[in-house]
Amino acid sequence: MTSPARRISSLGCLLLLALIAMAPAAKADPYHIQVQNDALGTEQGIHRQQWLAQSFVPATSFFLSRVSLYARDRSPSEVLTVQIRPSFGGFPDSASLAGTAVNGPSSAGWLNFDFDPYVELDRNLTYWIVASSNALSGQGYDWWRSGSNSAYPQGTGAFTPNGVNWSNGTQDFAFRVYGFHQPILAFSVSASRLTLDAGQSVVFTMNFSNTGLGSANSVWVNVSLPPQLSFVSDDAILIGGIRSGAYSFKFTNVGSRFWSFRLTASAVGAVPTGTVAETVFVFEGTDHNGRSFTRVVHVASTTILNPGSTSSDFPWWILGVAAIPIAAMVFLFWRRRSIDLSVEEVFVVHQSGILLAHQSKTLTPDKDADLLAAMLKTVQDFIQEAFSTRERMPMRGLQFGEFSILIEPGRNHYVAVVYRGQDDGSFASRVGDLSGQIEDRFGITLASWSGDMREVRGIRDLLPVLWGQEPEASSEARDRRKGRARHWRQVPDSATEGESPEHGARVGETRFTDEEG
Amino acid sequence: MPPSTAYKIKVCLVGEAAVGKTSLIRRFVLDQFDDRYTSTLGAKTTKAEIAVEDPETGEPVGIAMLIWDIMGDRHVPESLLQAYFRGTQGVIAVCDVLRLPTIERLRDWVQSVYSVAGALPTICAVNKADLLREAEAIYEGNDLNARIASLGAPHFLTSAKTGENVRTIFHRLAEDVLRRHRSESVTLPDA
Repeated sequence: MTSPARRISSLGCLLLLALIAMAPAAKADPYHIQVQNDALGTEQGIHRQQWLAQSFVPATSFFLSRVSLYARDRSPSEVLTVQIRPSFGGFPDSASLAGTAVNGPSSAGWLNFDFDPYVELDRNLTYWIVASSNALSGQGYDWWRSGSNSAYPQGTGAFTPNGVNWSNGTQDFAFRVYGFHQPILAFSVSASRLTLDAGQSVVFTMNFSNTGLGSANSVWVNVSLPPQLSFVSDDAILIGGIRSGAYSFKFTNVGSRFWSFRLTASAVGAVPTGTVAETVFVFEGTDHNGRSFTRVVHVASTTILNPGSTSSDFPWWILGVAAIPIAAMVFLFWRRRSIDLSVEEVFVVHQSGILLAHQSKTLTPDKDADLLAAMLKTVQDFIQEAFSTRERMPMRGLQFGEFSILIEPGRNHYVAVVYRGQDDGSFASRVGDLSGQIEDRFGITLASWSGDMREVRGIRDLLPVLWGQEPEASSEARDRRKGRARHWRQVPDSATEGESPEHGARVGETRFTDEEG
Repeated sequence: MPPSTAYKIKVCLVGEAAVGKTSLIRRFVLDQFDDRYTSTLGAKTTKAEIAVEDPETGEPVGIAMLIWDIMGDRHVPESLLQAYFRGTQGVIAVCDVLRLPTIERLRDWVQSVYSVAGALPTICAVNKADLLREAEAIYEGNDLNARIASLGAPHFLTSAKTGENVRTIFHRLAEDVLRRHRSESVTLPDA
C-alpha cells in the first residue's frame, strides 16, 4: 500500500519531470540562418579563370559562423575557397575579412563553410561571399544561380577572370549565411528576509535574464555561503541548471527569456547575536566566442539575531515577561525609524570616480555599480561646474521620486547613500561618522591610491553601520570628526580645496557646529 | 574562470570630435548609458574588465578599467575637463587617419590631461585604419607616418569597423599602468 507521503513524493518527481520537459528547447549552437537566398536555377563554374561572388546586406549586426553555397565538386581532388570581403566601389574589396576552404562532394547540395574565429558583421553594410578555385576550367566547382537578379534584391552576383577586375553578373547565387547575435544578460538577487534566528531558513531568489537576440553559450551563478549559513536545497534543476561544488550553478545555451531559481539556507547555532552573515553571488557568462561578459557580484547580508541557546535551569520565563514591554518599545521605535528612513544602497567612491565599496539592501540593481559610481562622480563634476560661482562647492544630495541620495564628501573619497523616507538629521550624522571612519583608517592609502583593491578591502566592513548593525558613533568619534574638520580648514589640499564640509553644508545648516552646540 | 578584479583603474579617451572614440569603446566595453549623456555632460563612463599578465609573477591579474569617454567638442569648459581628468591613470588619445588636424591636436589633448594628473601611460590610437589606403593617397604615406611617429607615445592603427587593434590598445594601456604601479620602467611621453 502506498503511503500518502510517498504519493506526494512521486507526484513531486512527476511535476519535476514535467517542468523539465516544459522548458523551452535551447538554441544549442551558433548556427542560425541570418541571410539566405534558396532559389535555384542553373549552375555556373568556378575555376582559376573565373571566380564568382555574391553580395549580401545584414539587417542586424551579428557574428557570422558559417556560409553555405548550393554547389558541387566537378573534380574530387579540388577544394573550394570562400572568403568574406567588405565592399569597395560596388565590388568585393581586395582585402578579405576571413576565409576558409573545403573539399566538397560531387553531388549537388548545400556545402558548408565554417568560420573560426567568427566574423563580426555590421548591419546595413554590404559584404561579399567570394568563391574561388585554383582548378583548371571544367575541373573546379559549380555554384547554382537563382535564375534572376532579383531573387535576393539586397545583393547581386559578380564574377572576375583574374581575381582583380570584377563585373556584375546577371543573376543572384544561392547562398545561406549563418551566425548569431550577442546576448544581453542581467542578474539580480533577493532575500526572503534580512534577519533570522538559529535554525530558521532564508530563501535567496536569483533572477537572470537575456534580453538580447542571441543565446549565451554558458552562464554560471556561484554562491558562497558564509559559515553561519548551511545549505538546505535549491531548485536550479527546474530551469536546467547543473549544480557542482559548494555551490556553483551552470546553465548552457541560455536563450532570450527570464530565468529564476532559488537556494534555501538555514542559520547554524552557536554564533553571537547580531552576527552578520554575508552570502556572495557571482554571475558570469560567455558568448559563443568564448568571451566573458562582465561579472556581476552581489552580497546579501543576513543578521543572525538569536543563537537559540535553550538548555539551562535559569527561569527564562521571568526574563521573557520582563522583556515584553521593552520589546514593544523597541518595536515601536524600530517601526517608526523604518517608516521614516530605509537605506537602499551605499557607495564609497574614490575622488577619481572609482568605486571602492558598495552594499545594497534591495539586491536588484540592473546597472553595474562601478559605472553608477563613475557616472555619479561625472554628474557631480558637471553640477559643480555649472552652478558654482567662485568656489567649487560639492553637491550634497539628489532627490528622485521617493528616493534621496545623500552625498558625504571626504578628502579623497565620498560616501553616497540611496535611501527612502525622511531624515531628521541623525542619519546624515551617521553617514558623516562613517565617512570619518573611512578617513581615519584609509585616508593615507586613498591619498595616493594606485587602484589596488586589496588596500581598500576593509572599507566594506564598515558599511553595515548604516543599517543599524553597529552602535552609533560615540562622542569620542564625533570629537575626532570635529578635529578632522579643523584639520581640513588648517591644511587645504589643492586637490580638494573648496570641498571641505563647511562648503558642503546645506543652506541654513552648519553640520559640525550643530553637534558642537 | 576569469581572475577576480584586483585593480580598478581610471582611463580617459581624448581626441577631437568624430574621430571614433565612442565607436572604439562600443567595440570593447560594457556600455550601459545612452550616448546622450556624453553630449549633455561632456563625458560618459564605460567599463572594461580584462586580464593581463602580472609583470612580477606572470599570473593573470583582473583589471577593471573605468573609461571616461571625453567629448571632443571644444565648447566643453576647460575647468570641467580638468575635473574629469582628476585621478586618471592612463590615456588613450584618438585621432582620425583621414583628418590630419586631429593628429596635430592630440598633443594638446594629452597635455591637458597631464596638466591635471601628471605624465601618465599613454597610447595613441590612429583610428579608421580601414581607410588607410585612402589616407595615404591623400597625404602621401611618408608624411602621414612621420606625423604619427612624432606623437612620441606608443601608437597603433585601429579600426572600430573591423576591430583591428581595438583589444590591443586597451590591454597595452592596462599593462603599462600595472607596470607603473609596480615601479617598473614605462616610457612616458614628455609631460
